[in-house]
Amino acid sequence: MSLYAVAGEAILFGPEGPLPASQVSSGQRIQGVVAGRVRPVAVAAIGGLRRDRTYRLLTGLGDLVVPDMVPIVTDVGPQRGLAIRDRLQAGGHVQVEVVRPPTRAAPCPKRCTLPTVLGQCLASLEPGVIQLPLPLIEQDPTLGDKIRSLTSQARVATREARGERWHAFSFNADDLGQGRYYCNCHARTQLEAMRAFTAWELPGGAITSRTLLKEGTVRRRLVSLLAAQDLPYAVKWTPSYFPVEARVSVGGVAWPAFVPVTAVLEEEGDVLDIETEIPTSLVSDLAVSGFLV
Amino acid sequence: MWTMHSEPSGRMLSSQMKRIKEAVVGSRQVHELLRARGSSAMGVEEAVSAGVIAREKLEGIWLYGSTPTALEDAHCIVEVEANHICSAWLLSPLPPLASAIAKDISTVSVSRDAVQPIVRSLLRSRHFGALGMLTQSYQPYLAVYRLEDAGEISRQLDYVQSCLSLTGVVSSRGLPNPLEERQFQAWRGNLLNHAEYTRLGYVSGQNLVGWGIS
Repeated sequence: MSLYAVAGEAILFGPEGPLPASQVSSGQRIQGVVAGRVRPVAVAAIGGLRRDRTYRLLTGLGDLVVPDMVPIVTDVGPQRGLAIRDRLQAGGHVQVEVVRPPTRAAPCPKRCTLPTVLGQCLASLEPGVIQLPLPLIEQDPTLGDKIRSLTSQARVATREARGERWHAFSFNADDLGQGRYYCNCHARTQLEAMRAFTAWELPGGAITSRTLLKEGTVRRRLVSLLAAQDLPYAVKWTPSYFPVEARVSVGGVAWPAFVPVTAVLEEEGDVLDIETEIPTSLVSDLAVSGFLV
Repeated sequence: MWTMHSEPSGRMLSSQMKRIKEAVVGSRQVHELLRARGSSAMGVEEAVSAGVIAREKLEGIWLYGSTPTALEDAHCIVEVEANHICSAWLLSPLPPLASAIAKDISTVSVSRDAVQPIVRSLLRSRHFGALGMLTQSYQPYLAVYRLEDAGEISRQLDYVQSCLSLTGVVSSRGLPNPLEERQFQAWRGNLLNHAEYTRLGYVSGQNLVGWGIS
């Protein structure tokens, strides 16, 4: 048995697709690295959530959140979040090694309905508004219809409004939960929804999504869906010296072996202990982390 | 939207450099720096190698100083001046902030091109805080504030949220006065621009109009 500290919001990959660590249960299998090879590893036990210091690395594949003492595999060896932050602030560079996500996820045993999963997609947006630049709507008139159709399928009433340079769909998210439940039911429709809800630009005709720095829940949902469907993507944090938002673009033919870290933020977040049946490093947020606690 | 402090002309910069012996500039003014140092015939690389001017790379941009000390001093001087300006403005949009800092510094001549990477470096090392805003073409830029003003910024944003949920509209003039008096009031418009950035509503004139979210 081996024990690891993991951030509650970190995405682990199992046979049923991506899951936040806080949703993993005993008996499930998650991706780990054993003797240099990526393979499923059984979870023996899960500890309760506690608050602790965490580091949020803003990488080319999204958020990578690790507890304080947990190292991550980088191009300069295993590094803790604090060390990576210090290196970046001194003008240095760090890249994180990427583990390609597994594909062919098994169906979710709960067999969630389409309204349920689309409701979770909407619930991940905070505040409850989809705010689109007016030129985007004018460039792609079908985008508005797509959003109307998806919110209708979610059985969520929306109010549409135009204001100066925006077109917005607002809704009451009170009954939708917090959008933190993940499953791969209706995965393609979920992805279509998340891309439509976060659409920002249409460079060359392909939607680029935009999320604010604080919108980790939205962003994780979007990139998890992309990863689960084996769709390479890239996250650009701007501005690089003080990121306030992330642009997610889909494309490319291959997953990168390494992605750069743009910035590291020290936070207080939920952490839990995961006990695995065999010693392993965990694949968390597409990176290798968590040697033995 | 904001008042742009103009960058000194090349001739003015050159004469400033002659009067003030220490200067820090970006690539665009390095030849003027060499002229001020009496080395206009020298190439940049030659001048750096010979110690006529000093050079450092900061935030991917080359800075040139009349001396290594000038380069070192510029970091401190810019930080002090940024603090002073942010104290007066509360929230300072980054492009005009760099211009204002360059204009106000008198001890060492630091060009706007040199101020910009120094301010970015200060932001990267979290010596200041910043809020996101959007240009007319929907690109992000920052409004900078002092760390000791984080509480005031938070207080103002809380007011915006509660005002929106009560009335659906926030006027820039209706924002409460800061607990510490500020010399300028442009922060009010900038705060509403940030609220628009975070999707709380849209800016129309001097108001932020909410999207009607309960």
